[in-house]
Amino acid sequence: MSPKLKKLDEQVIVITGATSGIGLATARMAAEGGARLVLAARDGDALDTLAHEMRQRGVEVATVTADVGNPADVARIGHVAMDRFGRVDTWVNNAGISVYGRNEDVALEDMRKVMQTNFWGVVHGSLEAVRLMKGRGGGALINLGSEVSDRSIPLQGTYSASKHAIKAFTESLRMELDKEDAGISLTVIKPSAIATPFPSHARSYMEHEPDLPPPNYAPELVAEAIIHAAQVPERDLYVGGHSKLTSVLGYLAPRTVDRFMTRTMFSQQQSARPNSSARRDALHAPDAQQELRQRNSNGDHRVVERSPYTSFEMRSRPAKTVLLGGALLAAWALTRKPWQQRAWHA
Amino acid sequence: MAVQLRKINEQVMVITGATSGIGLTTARMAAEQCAKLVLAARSGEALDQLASELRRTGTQVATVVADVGNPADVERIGQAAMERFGRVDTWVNNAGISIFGRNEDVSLDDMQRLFDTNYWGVVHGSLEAVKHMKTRGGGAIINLGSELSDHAIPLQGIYAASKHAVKAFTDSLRVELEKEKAPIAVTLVKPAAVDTMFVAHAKNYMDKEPSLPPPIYAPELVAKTILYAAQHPKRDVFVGGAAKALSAGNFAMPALLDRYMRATMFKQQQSPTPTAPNRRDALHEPNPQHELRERQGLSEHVIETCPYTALSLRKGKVMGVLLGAGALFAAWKLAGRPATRTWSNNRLRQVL
Repeated sequence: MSPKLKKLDEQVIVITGATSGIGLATARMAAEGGARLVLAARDGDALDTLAHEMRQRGVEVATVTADVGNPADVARIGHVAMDRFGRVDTWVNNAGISVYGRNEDVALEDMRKVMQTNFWGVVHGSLEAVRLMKGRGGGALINLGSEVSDRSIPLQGTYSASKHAIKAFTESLRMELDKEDAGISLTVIKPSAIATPFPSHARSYMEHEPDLPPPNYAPELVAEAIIHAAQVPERDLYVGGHSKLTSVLGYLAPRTVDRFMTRTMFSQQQSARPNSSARRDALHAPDAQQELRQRNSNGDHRVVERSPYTSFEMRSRPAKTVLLGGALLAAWALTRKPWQQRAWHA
Repeated sequence: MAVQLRKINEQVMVITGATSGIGLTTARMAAEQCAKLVLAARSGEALDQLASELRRTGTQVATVVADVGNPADVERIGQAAMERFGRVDTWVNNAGISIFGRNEDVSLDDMQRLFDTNYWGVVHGSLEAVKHMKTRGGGAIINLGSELSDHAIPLQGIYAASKHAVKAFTDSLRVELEKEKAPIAVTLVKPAAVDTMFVAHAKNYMDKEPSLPPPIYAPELVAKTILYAAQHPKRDVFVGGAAKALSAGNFAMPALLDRYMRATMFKQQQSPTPTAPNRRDALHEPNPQHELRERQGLSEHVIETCPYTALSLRKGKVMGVLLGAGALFAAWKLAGRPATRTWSNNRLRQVL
């Protein structure tokens, strides 16, 4: 039995990591769609600026300064949502960060911080959301996985591990909640590389500035997928066809993908620019200078603004069937023609 | 470029979690095949007992009391190996533990403890192994994943998450080492349910004693696979066809597998026996009563052989033989008896 979800303009939505990248794009898109928002991030100033921007347009916003790696902070997000709006309809566990570098080089302390934010942040947020949604009509829990939830990459080993763990935890929790008919929809979003400030927030152990391997998709595509999953129960959504392709190839031909990555992933994850000695990152504390940006400003790559694969994924089952059927029919018609002609001449 | 690995009888092998289940079975099997062993576990007494058992049959053994969740302990394992034997050829990150219960019910403390052992233990061990192997002729790192590295199940959410993470870390490390052409083979072993002390060691939040969903395989199958991977570079290997089947099912039809799991996994992971009020587990501390057992005796129907794994370990050879035989057969068919061929062609046309 699939959970019933409200329309966007009737929802109270919690978003973690709301002051940057995908979280910021999602917050703004949800605000435009008429949702009431509870925004969480580590940087209180950035949250205030964002809330001010939104309130000017008449959006109802509550903010919580919180580090999702800290369970007490996450409990406070829940409290604020209940105090201010009396319920939570959608909870988006988006906050995340990475470290670039060979697994051998990265300090354990930094690895642990990545895992604490990305994985444990999702665990804390999910359990808090379930607690608030259960018995209150359910809702949607949306966890940000990644393309690397399915297939791991070099130079971001711990990030990949954290995103693998998020997928497993979410899938396990989904089976448990479905078993009890809890009325809660759980979605894992698996974005491809997205043109957010991700590389500049990340800690780097490399000689060059970190970079995202192409293709880089627009953060708005992920926001659209999140807003969709807030209203329509989805098991998982790949954002950008590249993410799905990597997942499929990673399963069917792991060895080939290994070899391909050995050739591409080391150069593609490093830009031409050397690491500056004054480089700051946002691993252990937020970096005020890099807040409130949806996209990265490097401009090294063309940003892909559309994903036909993701649009297809978000269609209803009958629409998918019609589209697939049409494609098969077209393929049949196209391949059939020469045969007919040959038969005619014979 | 294939990594060259030594024969077992020329190897120094580190095994973590060596006093129980798969680790214990692997240690004994490696000892029989004359490997020199460095055995690590949390229980010093169990280690001493195992070491004296193995020394009686002439095996050279060093032991290290260590909690793999503690990086300093893991460093001591490396030091002990270097001091006693001067090198490490194979490092098996086997130590692991689970918790049974709904994700909502399990305490964060227990979840973190599980991750320290299963995930961080593998990270600590792998990095320590790389450090020793890199400049000394390489070797094999063998990490114990699980069938739950590929798909999740209810009631063991954090265990599944830890095994997913182990896979990701192992895959990432492998590509990095290959990039530098470090002569180190990195293998992920993914066992199906195995009859070990796993269930007895696990912490339990359920009303009933935990149990493993069938089919249940013998720990010797995993040990054999580990010893194979110690000698032949192998990317990953499933132990038990059920593990492969579930992984494939999850890839092809995830929503359907969800439903199957929901229908079966709640029942199959709980035995009819109620949980004893004084139940002890080995999550935070080892339980001496449960040490030095390879199996718990979970079922009368433990599967002792596994054709799928046997085949996947010898895929190259088997495919070679099959292809060779096919080519010979084709050559024989094409070379002679044209009459028969015409007949069979006509026959073929009729059939078509």
